[in-house]
Amino acid sequence: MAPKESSFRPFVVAFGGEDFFLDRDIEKALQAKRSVLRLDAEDGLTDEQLVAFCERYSEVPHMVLVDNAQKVKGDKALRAFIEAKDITDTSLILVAIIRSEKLPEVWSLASSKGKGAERKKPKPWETDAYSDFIRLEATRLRVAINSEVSAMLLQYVGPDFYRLANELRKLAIYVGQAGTITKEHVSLVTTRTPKAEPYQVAEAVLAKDSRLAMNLFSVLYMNSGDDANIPVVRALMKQIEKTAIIRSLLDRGVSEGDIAVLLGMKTWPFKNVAAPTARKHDLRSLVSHMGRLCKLDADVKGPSRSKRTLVEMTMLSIAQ
Amino acid sequence: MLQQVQHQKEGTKFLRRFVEGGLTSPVLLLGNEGVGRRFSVLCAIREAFCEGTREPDCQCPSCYQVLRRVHTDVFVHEAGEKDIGVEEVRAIIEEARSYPTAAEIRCFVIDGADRFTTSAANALLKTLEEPPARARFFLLAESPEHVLPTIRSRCGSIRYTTLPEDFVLSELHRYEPDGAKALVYARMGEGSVGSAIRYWGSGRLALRDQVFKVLQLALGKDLPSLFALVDTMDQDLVLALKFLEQVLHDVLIVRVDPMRVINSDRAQDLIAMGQISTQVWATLAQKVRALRAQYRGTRLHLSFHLKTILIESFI
Repeated sequence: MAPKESSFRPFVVAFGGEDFFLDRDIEKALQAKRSVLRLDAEDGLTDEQLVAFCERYSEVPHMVLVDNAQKVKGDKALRAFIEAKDITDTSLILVAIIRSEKLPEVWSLASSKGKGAERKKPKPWETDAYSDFIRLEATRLRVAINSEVSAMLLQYVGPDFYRLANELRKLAIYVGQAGTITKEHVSLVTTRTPKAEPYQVAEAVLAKDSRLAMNLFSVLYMNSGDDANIPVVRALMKQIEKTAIIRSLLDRGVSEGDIAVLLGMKTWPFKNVAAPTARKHDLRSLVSHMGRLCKLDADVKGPSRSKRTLVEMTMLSIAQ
Repeated sequence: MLQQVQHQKEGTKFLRRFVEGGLTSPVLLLGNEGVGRRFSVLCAIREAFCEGTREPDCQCPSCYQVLRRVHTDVFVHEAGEKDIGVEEVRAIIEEARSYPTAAEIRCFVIDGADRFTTSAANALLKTLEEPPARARFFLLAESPEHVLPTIRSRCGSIRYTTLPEDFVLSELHRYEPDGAKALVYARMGEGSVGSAIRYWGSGRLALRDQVFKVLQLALGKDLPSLFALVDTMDQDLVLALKFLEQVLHDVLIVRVDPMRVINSDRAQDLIAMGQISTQVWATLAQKVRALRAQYRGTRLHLSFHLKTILIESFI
């Protein structure tokens, strides 16, 4: 639905790290019945050029939409333009899309004279933000979804607003208008994204489950590419440190309950996961694995080639 | 004013030529931090710009401005936590092309010639090769190995020596009345007044004591406490590694030459640690030195590396 003319302000500023909502803001702005000039500061745009575009004579109310506005070079002319602008004059609307967590000062000024909105990217574990999004998107698509199904969808798809929106659109077409999305629909229609976290890889390595470790690492690599190397090495270091501490305490005859308390862990996961893992290694071998990880750390942060192979080889040598 | 600089004859001689107007090419001042490189350059600039008596107590406008670092023709650029990038170098070049405003020449002191990014160093090369007629460049670096050969070849080099212990100690006595503590700080500074005073100012004996504790925990094979203590030192790990190297040096020499130990206030602990095989300490010292050198090039997970070399040595 097109926005009402009466709600217009001369400046609309949206900023933040979540591209999905910023793209939505662009879509929404384009629905206004105005002649629109779209610009992208990524292609190189100075504030003087932008002001010239804004001041260009137009018979009909017009809108200048500038994407990646954080990359506009200079701010002197723009600042003067914003300061001089009468806020009741909406013959021109300047929409700035700032793809950055930090709002540049000049755009902050524009926001204070118009409308501003922050589009924050939630952390992957902030599931409430994603659940709220699913609920609102379902309402927009005129279908019903309960919280259990919504959680299942999030688990299947992962914390990605673009993918969640697409899957919901597919589901809405499948169940029809005013329909209700059920668990069966989700498992039938949704494309499942395999998920893996660096700590899971590290846990599998230390548990000497090399097959699971390699599978998880492969999934992680598929999702993140070379960026997966450093987090995995870091997770391996953390896990091996923890295992070495547990092993040394077990060797000293400290009871499992006391170790769990000392490490701030709950008894059940300690007794069933951490302690059995530590028992699969002796302290001397853990120390030599730590040495290997030090070398790997230098390799993945240095200019070595085939970093993935180096990580995999170290993982296998620890998991053997 | 250059007479204020002590124990750096070569540097003073070289800079005297600049004061007398006979030095126009860029100069590379090499030496550890705190041995007087920047101080001597600023003394030389002050003397060259002085409109008064040319004595250390001169209060002419020019001396006043140089002393307070507000002179419009003196630019001091220090590398911060990050290396010096191309944008910073371009700004310096831009300033070097401008005419001086108050003096006859403009002086640029760049502290961190070993911290240029490759593109920054390349951007500066042309300017160093043919500096603007009214610009003088003074580049400061710790050691020549870390300065790009192309930069080194365009500069005249002066090597600053480490300062004698007596001198560092006499400077430190101005701040620290306790003789034993002053001696430790002076030796920790390794011939650098600047470092010794900085360690004193930030109470670095506490960090040094933590280093001793770390070694004792490693000797006792107390992994949980050792790992926890290393983690608490996270912000100061680079300096802790330097102190660790000094402690290991002490452990190795305490029985043969006790007068030369740096941490003389912890002599008893050093002797106790010296009971263990020299080979263990020597290997550990070698690993620590290698880690410090390696860390310079890559951003390693330092705490993990330190934990590893410690437990490798004692378990």
